Amino acid sequence: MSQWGHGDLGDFRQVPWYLRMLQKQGPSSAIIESADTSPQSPKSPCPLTFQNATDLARFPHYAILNISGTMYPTILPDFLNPRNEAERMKTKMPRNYVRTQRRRWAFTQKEVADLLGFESRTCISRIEQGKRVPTLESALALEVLFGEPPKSLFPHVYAEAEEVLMQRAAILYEGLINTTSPREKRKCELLELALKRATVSSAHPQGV
Amino acid sequence: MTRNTSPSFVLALYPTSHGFAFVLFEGPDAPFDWGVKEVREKRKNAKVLDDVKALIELYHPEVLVMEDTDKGKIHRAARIRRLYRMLRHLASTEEIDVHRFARADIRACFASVGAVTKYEIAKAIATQIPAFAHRLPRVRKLWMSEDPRQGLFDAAALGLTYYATKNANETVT
Repeated sequence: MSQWGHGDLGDFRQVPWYLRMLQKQGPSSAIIESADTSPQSPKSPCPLTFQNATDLARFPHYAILNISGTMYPTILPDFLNPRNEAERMKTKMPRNYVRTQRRRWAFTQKEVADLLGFESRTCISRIEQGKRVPTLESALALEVLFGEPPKSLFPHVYAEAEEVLMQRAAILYEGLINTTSPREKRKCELLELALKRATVSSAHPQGV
Repeated sequence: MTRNTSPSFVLALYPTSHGFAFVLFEGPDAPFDWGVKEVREKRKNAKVLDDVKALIELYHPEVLVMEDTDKGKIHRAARIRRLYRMLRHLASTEEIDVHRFARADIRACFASVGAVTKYEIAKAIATQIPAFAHRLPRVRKLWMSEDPRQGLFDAAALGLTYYATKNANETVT
């Protein structure tokens, strides 16, 4: 792990794997370019190549390092492992914007709890701290109250759901891409649209 | 994906005689969290430092903005000056950039909107950030002590000065 120093990666770690995949080479293979991926000389630029999307989705922590044309199978370190991305978000990202909105409008936890029909303010406190994911009813009630969609109020929940779905979508897409059936093509269209939507919303983040 | 990248937080701190005020910014018009913490213990600085450390661990801010007490004639208590030194040390151990602004910098920043006094600056902040509007303290008379909520606006003023300076530097480069 120590040879993979964190310092030189910049915003590389913050881009989801499927977006890098899409941006670099399309959904069939992925190349990650980083200035700090070579175990032998950490400072020299070196592309890191995943075998293909299916392998990547099935073994998200596994990659082939391409160092000067020689392939080195390797286990991705924690910060490159897409499975850990959600974990990282939990610790690094703000959990949600319920507290911000509530305080913006000078509401107390008790008042919001009463409005949402909770018996005590504990539920709101837990939702604010990210210890509890609100039910669909609560999320919609918060949207009604604050005028912000659940996607904006709970970006990390949305990001996690999107991450998981896109990994599954990549596997499905790989299976469908070579078929000629109109039904399968139609499904491919939706998956491509979903990927495009994810790319666009990632490039133009919205928040509260 | 709404926020796939961690928003970079800017933490503005303003210690007071009864604790400290903080505003955590996501952007110049977007405060994420704010508050005034009262500390009424004997070892105030240690407690304040613990609270600030907890904030840093929770939000991982990239920048810490504080008052610059070394520039010009600033009358702050020796305890507060010591606290600023401790905060700078804490920031360096946590690898957080520290930006310090003197009162003159803040006044210069808000001079463009015609705000000179602390109250006028607080009023300008309340106009820019509606979330703070309901916390605006009353005008202080000579015989009144400062409202604890004023600290919140002092912290916000530091944060906004940081953004203004940053924008000005970016425009120049």
